[in-house]
Amino acid sequence: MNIAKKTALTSFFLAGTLLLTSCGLGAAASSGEAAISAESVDGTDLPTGVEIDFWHIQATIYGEAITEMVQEFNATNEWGIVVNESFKGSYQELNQAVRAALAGGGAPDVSMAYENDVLEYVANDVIVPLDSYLESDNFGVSEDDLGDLVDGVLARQRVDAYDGHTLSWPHGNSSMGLYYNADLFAEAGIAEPPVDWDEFLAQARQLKETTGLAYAAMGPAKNAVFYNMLRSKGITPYDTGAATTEFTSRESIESLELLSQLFTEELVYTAADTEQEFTNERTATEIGTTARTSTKIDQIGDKFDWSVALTPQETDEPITQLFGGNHVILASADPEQELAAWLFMRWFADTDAQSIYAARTGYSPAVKSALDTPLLSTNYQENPQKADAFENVFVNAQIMPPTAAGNAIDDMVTGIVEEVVLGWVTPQEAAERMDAEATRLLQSAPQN
Amino acid sequence: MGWVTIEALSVSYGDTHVLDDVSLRIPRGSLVAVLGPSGCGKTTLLRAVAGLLPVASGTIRVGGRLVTGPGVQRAPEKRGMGWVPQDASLFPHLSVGENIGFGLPRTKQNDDLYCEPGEASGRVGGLLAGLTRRGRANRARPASGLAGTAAHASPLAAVPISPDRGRQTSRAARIIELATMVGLTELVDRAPSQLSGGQAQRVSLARALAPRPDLMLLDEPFAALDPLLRSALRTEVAALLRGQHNTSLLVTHDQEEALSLADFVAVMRGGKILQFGTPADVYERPVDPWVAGFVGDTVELDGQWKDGRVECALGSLAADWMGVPAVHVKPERERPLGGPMGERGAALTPADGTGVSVLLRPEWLTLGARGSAQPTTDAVVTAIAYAGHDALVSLALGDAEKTAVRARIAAPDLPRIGDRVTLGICQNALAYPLG
Amino acid sequence: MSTVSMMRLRRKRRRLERIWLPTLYLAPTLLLLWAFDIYPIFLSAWMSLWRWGIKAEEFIGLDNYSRVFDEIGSGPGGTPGEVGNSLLVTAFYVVGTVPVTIIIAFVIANMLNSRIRFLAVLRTAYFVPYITSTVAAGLAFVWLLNPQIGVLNSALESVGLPAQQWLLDPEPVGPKVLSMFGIGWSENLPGFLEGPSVALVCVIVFSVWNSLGFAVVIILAGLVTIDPQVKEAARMDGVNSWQMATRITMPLVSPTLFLLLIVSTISSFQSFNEVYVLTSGGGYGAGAGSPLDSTLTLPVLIFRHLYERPSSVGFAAALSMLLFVLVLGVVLLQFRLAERRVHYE
Repeated sequence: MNIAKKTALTSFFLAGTLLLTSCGLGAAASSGEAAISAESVDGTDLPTGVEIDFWHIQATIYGEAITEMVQEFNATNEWGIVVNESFKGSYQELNQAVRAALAGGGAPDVSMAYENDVLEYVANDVIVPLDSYLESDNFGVSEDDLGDLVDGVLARQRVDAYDGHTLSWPHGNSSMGLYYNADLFAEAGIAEPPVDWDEFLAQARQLKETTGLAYAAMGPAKNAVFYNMLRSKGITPYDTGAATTEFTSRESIESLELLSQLFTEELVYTAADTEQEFTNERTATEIGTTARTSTKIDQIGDKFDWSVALTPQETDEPITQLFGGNHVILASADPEQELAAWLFMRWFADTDAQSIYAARTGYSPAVKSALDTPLLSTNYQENPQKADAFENVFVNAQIMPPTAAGNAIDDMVTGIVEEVVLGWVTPQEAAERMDAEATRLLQSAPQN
Repeated sequence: MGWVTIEALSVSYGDTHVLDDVSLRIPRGSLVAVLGPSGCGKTTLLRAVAGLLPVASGTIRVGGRLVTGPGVQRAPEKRGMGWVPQDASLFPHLSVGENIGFGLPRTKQNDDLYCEPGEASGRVGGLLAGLTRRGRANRARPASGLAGTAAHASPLAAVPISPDRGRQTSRAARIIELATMVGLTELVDRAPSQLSGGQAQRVSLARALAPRPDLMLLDEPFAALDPLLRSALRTEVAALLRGQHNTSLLVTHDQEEALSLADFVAVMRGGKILQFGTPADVYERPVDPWVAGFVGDTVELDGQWKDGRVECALGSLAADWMGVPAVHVKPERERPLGGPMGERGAALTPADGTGVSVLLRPEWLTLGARGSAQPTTDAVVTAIAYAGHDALVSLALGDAEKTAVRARIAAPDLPRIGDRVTLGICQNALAYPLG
Repeated sequence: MSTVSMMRLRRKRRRLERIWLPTLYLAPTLLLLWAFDIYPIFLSAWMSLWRWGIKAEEFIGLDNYSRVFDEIGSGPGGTPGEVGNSLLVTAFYVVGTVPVTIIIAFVIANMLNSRIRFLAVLRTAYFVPYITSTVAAGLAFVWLLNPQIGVLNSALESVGLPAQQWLLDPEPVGPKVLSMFGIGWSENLPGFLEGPSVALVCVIVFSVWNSLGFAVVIILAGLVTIDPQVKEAARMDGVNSWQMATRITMPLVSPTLFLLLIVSTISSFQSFNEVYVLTSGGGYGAGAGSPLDSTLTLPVLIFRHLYERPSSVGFAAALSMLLFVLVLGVVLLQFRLAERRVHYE
C-alpha cells in the first residue's frame, strides 16, 4: 500500500492518545527521575508466573539462539517468570512497532533499542530507568558482575546524554573489524593485515598490482567506515553536548582524501552486499561487523584461509565501532511486570546466557566470564575467527556518541561521503558541508 | 463489361466453405442486390469485396484494378469503397457533419475539427491533399448512362489546381452538399446519439458517399428500420444512388427490396450464386423452383411434358422448359422476356411424357377467360387473403384431387368464398425437372 | 383497514425505502471511508500543527509548514533542499511512470484486442506482475540489477558493454547518456535538466512493468466496448492503423484513458513500495531514497520523517498535507485540460 495509507493508519492509532496527551503534555518533564526507589524494588514481592513480552530483531541462527535462551530462562528462573519473545523485523521496523504500540497499546515489557531510540523514549517518559534495580539488594548487580562486563558494553548503557542514569542493559554486541583473505594476502605478498591507513592504501595498491583484484568493497552507507577512520585517528566526529563537530579537522579531510583515492584508483568499489564480494573472493578484505563471523564461517568453509583483525589504528588507544542494540524496559505502571522484565534482562546479560548467545551466533559476549564457560571456550577453539573477533576487535569497541539527531547525521554523512567517492565534491568542500549540516542538526535535535 | 469483376471467389471459415466459387460482374453505375436467406454467404461476399476478410482463392477487380487476388489483398481503406453497415455505425464522438466528412481528405485550410461547416466553405478549394484520394475526389461524376466514359477522365482533371471548382469541392462544402442530398442540413451539428434510426442511416449513407467511392457496399442498410420507414427510405436511397451514378452492391434478404431497388439481382444460397439477372428475369424466369419460391409466391403443380406444353391439374398449358442448369452471370437485359429460349432451350427439351414440375406465379392466374393465353378451367373459391390493393385467393380445382391453387386478384374483381369461377392463365407456365 | 392508515403505512414504507435503505447500504463504505480516509486527513492536518514524536510534544502552529518551505530550496550552493529535491524526484517519477505506462499499455491493449494467437496467455502474462506482490517482484528486480552477480550486467558484459551500478548509481542519466556519444554536459545548465538518476530510472522501469498489467486490463475493458462495426466503417472510410488509433480508438476510449490517467497519477504520487523495496530492501542498507536521495520521492520522505527522524511526525504530517494538495492540484489540472478531449457517449 502507499505511504498515505500508512500515515493514515498510524494516525488512526495515534488518535486514541491524542486527547490524553494533549491534556498531559507536561508529564515528560519527569523524565530521568527514577519512578521507584531501590527500597521499593527490594520490597516488591514477586508472585510466580508473571508473564512478560519481549520484542527483538533476531531471526535465523540469532532468532534460534534467542528462542533457546528464552526457553532456558523460562525453565530455570526461580520466580516462574514466563517470557514471550517475538521477532519484529529490522531495528527500524521494531522501532515502528514499538511507537505504534506505545500510542495504541500492547507495548512489550522488554524491547531492544539503540541509544538514539532510548533518548527519544526517555524524552517521552516511556521507559523505566534501571538505577534502582541495579542498586537493589535482592535483585541488583554486584560490583564484580559490573566489572565482568566488557568496557565498551557497560559504557553504552550509561552514556553522558543519560545524565548519570543507566537506561538500558546489554543484549549482545558486535564490532567493526577488518576481515581478510589470508590466501589472497599471501599471493600478493602481504604478510599481515594493515596496522594503519597508510599501510591499508599501500596493501590495496600492492594487491591490485599483483592480483588485479580490488582490496575491499564498501556498501552504499559509507558513514561507518568514515567514522571508523576518524576515531582511529583519535577524533570523535561530533560532540553532542556542545553541538560541535570535528568534520573539518585535518584528520577528517585526510580520511576523505583516502576514501576518494581508494575509489579513484579502483582499489575499492561500491557493492550492495560486501560479504558476498569477500566470501566469493572478489575482494581481499571486508570492513564489516563481527556479528557476521559465524555466517562467514558457514559460507567460506574450506575455500580459503581467513580471519578478522582490528581496523587500522593511528593512536595508542585502539578504538573501533561498537554495534548492536540493548534492552530497555517499557513502562507499564505495574512494578511486578517491570521487575520481571528487569530480571529477565539481568539474566540475559549474564555469563550463562551470553555464552549460549555467543556460541550460537556471531555476537561477542557482553561479559568476559562467558569465555571461561565450557560451551563458549570449546566453540572458540573450534572457530578461531570468533575468538579473534573478540580478542582483536570487540574489546576495543565503543559506540558513537548517541544523539536524537543520529539518524539524520548518519544519512547526511553517508550522502556527502558518496559524493566524495564519486568525485562530485572535493574533500574540503565535503568536510565544510558536513560540519555545517551536522551542527545545524545537533542544534535542532530535541534535547533531554 | 464489368466495372466490378468477381471471379471464382472462395472463402472458408475452417472447413466450412462460406463462399464457393462465386463469380459476379457489376456493370458500372448499376445497383446490384445480392439476395439470399440468412447464412447464404451474402454478407461474407460483401465483406470479401470490402477486404474485411481474407479469401481462400479468386480475384476481385474494381475498374480494372486488382484488389484481391493471388498474393494481393489490398487493405480495406485503400479500396476506395463506401460502406453502409446495417446499424449505421456512426462515430459517436463526432457530429453529424464530421461523420459525413470523416473520409474526406484533410488539409490545413479546411481541417478544422471545430469549424462551422459554413465557415470553411468559402475558402479556397483545390487544395485537397492526399495523392491516393485525389483521384477519387476529383473524379468526374459520370454525366449519364452506365457506360460512364467520364471515369476515364483526362489527366488534366487530376491536376490539383483545376479551374473547375465544381470538382474541387472543399471539404466543408462537400459535407454540406451531402447533408443536403440526404436532407439533413439542419442536423450537421447534432451528435449521432440524437438521431433517429432513419436519420442515422442517411448520415451513414452520406458518409460513405462523401469521398466519391468507386463502389458502394450496403449491408442490409434498411433491415433495422421499421417497415414504414424502410420502404420510404429505400426508395429514396435508390434514387439517390442512381442520381449519383454510383456503382453499388447491396446485400439483403428481403426480396421485395432487391426486386424494387436493384438493376440486377444475384440470388445466393449455400455460398453459391444460383441466378443473376434483372429483377424481372429473376422473378419471371427463376432458374429453379427454390429461387422461384424465394423471390416470390408460386403455384406448383405436377405435370407431364408434351411437345412444348405441360399437362397438369390446370389443363394443358403452354410452357417454357427451364431445365437448363445455367448460372447466368451476365446480364441479359436485351433478351425478350417470355421469348424463345434460343438454340439452347430447343435442344434440351425433355421427351414427351416426362414428368415435370409446373410452376406459375399467382398473378398469372386470371378470373374468367379475359387476357388468358391458355385454356380455362373451373374452380371454387375456398379462401381470400385480402391485402388492400389485391388479394390472394385460394381455389380448389375441379379435378379428382381438388388441387389447391392460389391466384393474386386485383381488389375490384374479387369473388366471394364459395363462388365458382373460371380460371385463365395469362403467361406461359414454367416447367422444371422433377426432384 | 382504512384508506388513510393504508396510505400512511405506504408513505412510511416509502420513506424507509427512500432514505433508510440507501443509508444502510452506504453505511459500511461510509464507515470505512471515514475511518481510513476522512478522519485521518483531518487528524494529519491537526498533527501537522504539532511537534510530535512518539506523542504530541508541543503546539507549534504553522512552524512545520514554514520548515517545509525552508527545505524546498535550502541546499548547499543554491541547490534544492531535502523537500525540493524530493519534489523534483517525485516529478521525475510521476512523469516517468504515468504517461509511459499508459502509452505502452494502450499499444499492448490494442494488440491484445485484435485477433492474435495466444491471446489468453499474453493477457495473463501482462497481468501477472500486477497481482504479484510488489515486494516479491521488487526483490527479484534487485537480483536482476545486482551489479556483481545480476543477470542484466552479465548480459551487458557478454555483448561487450560496461557493467552498470544500477540501483547504486546516483548519477543523472542525461550527462551519462550523452557522454556515451562523446557529448559533454554544460555545468551552466539547470540541474533538473540532467534528468533522474540511474537508480531512479531503474525504479521507474520497475514501476512501469509492475503497473502495466493493470493499465492494459483497464484499457482492454474500454476497447471491447467499441463497436467493431464502427471501426469497420472507419476503415472503409479510408483510415489507416495510425488514424484508426488516433481518430477512432483513442476518442472512443477517452473516458477510460482519462480514468486511468487520474488513477495512475494519484497512485504514482503515492507510490512507496516500489522505491522502498528497490532501494532499501535486498540488503542495500543505505536506506530508502538512496543513493544520494536520488530516489527520495515525497512518500519516502514522509516515511523518513515519520519513522527515522526524532520528533518529526508533525513534520511528516505537514509533508502529507503538501502531497495531498499537490495531488489534488495536479488532478484538478488534468480535469481542466482533459475536459474537452474526453468524449462521453
